[in-house]
Amino acid sequence: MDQHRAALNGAALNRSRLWRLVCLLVPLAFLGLFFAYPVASIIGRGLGERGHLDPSPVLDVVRDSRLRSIAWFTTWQAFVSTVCTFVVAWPLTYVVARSAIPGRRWLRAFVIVPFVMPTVVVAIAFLALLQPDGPLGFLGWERGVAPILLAHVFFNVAVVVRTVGTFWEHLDPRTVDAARVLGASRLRAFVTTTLPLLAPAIAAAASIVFLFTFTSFGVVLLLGGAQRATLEVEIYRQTARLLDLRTAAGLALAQMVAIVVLLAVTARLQERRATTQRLVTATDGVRRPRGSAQWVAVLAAVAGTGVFLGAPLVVLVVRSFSAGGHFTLAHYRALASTGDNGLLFVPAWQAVRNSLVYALEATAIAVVVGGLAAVAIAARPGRASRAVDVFIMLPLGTSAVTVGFGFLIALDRGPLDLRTSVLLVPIAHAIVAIPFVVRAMVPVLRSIDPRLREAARVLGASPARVWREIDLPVVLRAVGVAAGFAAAVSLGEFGATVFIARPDTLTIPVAIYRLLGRPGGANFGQAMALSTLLMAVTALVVLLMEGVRPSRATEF
Amino acid sequence: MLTVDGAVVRFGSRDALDGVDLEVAPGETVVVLGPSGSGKSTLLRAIAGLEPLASGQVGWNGIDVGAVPAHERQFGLMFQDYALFPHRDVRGNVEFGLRMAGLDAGTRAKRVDEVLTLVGLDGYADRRVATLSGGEQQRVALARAIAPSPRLLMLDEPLGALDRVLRERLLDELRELLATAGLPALYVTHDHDEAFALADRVVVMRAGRVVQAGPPDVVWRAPADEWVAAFLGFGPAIDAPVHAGRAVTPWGDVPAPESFAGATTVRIVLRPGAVVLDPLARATGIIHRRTFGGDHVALAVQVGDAPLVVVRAPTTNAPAVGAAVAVAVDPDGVLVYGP
Repeated sequence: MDQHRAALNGAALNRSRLWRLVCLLVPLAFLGLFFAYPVASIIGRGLGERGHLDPSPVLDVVRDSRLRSIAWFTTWQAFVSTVCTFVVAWPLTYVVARSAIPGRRWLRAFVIVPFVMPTVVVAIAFLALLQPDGPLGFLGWERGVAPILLAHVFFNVAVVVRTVGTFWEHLDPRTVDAARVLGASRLRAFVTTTLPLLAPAIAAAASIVFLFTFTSFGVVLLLGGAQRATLEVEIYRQTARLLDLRTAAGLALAQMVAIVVLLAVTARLQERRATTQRLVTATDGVRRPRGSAQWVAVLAAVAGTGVFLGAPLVVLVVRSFSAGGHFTLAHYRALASTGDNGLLFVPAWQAVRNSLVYALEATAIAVVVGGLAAVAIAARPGRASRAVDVFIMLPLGTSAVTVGFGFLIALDRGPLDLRTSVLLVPIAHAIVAIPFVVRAMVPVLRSIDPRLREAARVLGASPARVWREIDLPVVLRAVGVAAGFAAAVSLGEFGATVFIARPDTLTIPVAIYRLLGRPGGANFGQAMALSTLLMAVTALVVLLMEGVRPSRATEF
Repeated sequence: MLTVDGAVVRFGSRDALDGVDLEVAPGETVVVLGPSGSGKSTLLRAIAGLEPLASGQVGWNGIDVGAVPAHERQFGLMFQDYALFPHRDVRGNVEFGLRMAGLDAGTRAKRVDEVLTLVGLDGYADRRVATLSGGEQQRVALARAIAPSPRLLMLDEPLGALDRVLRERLLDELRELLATAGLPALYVTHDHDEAFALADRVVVMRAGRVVQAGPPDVVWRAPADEWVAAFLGFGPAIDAPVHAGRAVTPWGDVPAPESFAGATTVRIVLRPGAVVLDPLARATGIIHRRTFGGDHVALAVQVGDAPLVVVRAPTTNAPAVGAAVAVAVDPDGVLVYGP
């Protein structure tokens, strides 16, 4: 009897080990095939041809004066965007972290809206605002550096408010009180106490914003005009217009190196900066504004940021419904056509249908692959699972353009010739979405207190029952959140898709880009209508996701 | 009846339990007392089936339960910090074990109301556990543990996280509840006052071993060794030479027990209050510190270069700091151990 039981236990142990192995191998194989292999192909192309080592495409990024100026522009616009983002976001960050005003939590939820908007939608929104016939047309900022910076700030305000604001909110306010009591003025206390304590959060937010803007593609492609290009945009131009894959590979490789260096430096900085400190519950640190001056300042911060974040989207929606100053559905009706001169080859509705189908497929792939990875990572904390974690996060730091470009040059021959596969686009979307899925699920899975499982066991729950009663309810919500992330990513994905979408596999963002490619009021009207649709669908997905999000333990 | 024989639990190369023997008789409350890290919690987890034994066995009524998985043992365990299910309300927590036992909804509802009344939480069934105070959570955890009528109730530092006033009140309630339920209980704590207040029998643990077991008054009167005495708050301890059958201490002589008649030195440990003010005594000391204690004054007295001892004095006319006083030692207040 005992031996029989022991044998059963042994079998159960082997089965669980096998299960963990599957959890690890599936995502590793998937990422190896559809991420590591394409990236390796880029490196191969960038470093040589037909077996000869020849790194001249990479060196050209430094030697060629045009490419050099592109690299320089990529860097300085990212730096300026980061600084501008902090300047614009700081007042609202303070309000969200420290002011007890009604609707504070709602404010924090609202700032996330621009962040989850597809880049193409944001670009169109700023065009709608800044075009000569738009409300701010008189500024003459339709194309160039100004609209790029505006769009970058618009996107990343959420990063600063959520990262720094949340951290600030949980800082013990008594450290500042202590500084004040010890004789520091309000400003002095901020500089000597709050700022150093916030440093890790500020560094984290700054590195994220810098990385996002450094690898910015859609915004720069659509708003930069013919003169301005980042490395990402230049990779696309070299590939799509000039068909010079070697130069493109060189640029992609140079950018990868830059990103790795950037990530290494920030990780190093953050490690040194990290201080252990007592964090308090969020409500302890907030104080109600006192006196009319403080109220005015707080309301101005909220209203100013609100207008900045709201106006472009509102203008986009309004203009999508108007022509010649009148309300009309003409732009939406035109979606049944193929655009002026048959620009899209297929009606724009086809792109909407494609986007929805791909979003479902990409979500399914990303949730299965990312979910398995998350289970494996959460089950066994340790060096191996951390290594897997880092590997799975790589696509996040690699930029969508690299993924798309890698697909283009790697998956085009032999058994991996997927050029005509209907799964090519969903797989690319899944690669971009998997890091989000993993990040959404791991902390939730880890947050389950092992003692809850034990409590259930001593109360008579069998192992399978424990999983159903304790793990499953939490996991289901995590899967919901992860699916929301994946769907939102897929719907808005542009950088990778634009490389690999064919005329019949067009998605909404790519259709919008094609429509913008030719001047003409009707095309722009259609682009605005498509953008409004995409915005609505994305907002719906994100709202659904926020609805199922567990109250604690997520890393965003 | 629970029997634990030579239980060993290993964490890596460290023995968390190193050959523990223990019994809990029907209706008996046994309190396991020990400092943190002594293996008390591990003992409970091993009995519950949550921690595998490297050797030894856990038995119930003479039958080895080692092969019975945790969920079939019918041993209740109340966790330290309670481990309530945050995604269920009070009812959902309390009826969990009843659902696992496959009871129908009507029976469950009746039993939930019954145990909630028992722990004084009438009308709390639909509250979310996150909205409860520490004391209320403690009661829910207790209700959840006893609801399925376990064969044995184990409690892991159930009062640990509560403030003093609440602790004392809940301690009284817990004692009454264990008495009325007639449930054999195994209770773990690091607080000897709690242990003595609850226990039919106290088991003192140190570094994974049982160093003493017995009724509370016996353990208090005769701690098995100097370590147990120190853990119970006794002290200071000093070496004392033996002359003519008497141990000589800086505070006066005490008779050495006959078993140590041949020894040249013994180790003595003073209980609280062993040294008293005695105007006729020969030993004199200087008052080093004076602490007001409500109904008495505690004087820290230094005799020669011996360790400070605390002497209680009436609040009226207590001598001042720096004053010289004569002290004697009460032989009943002295524990004598071998050298």
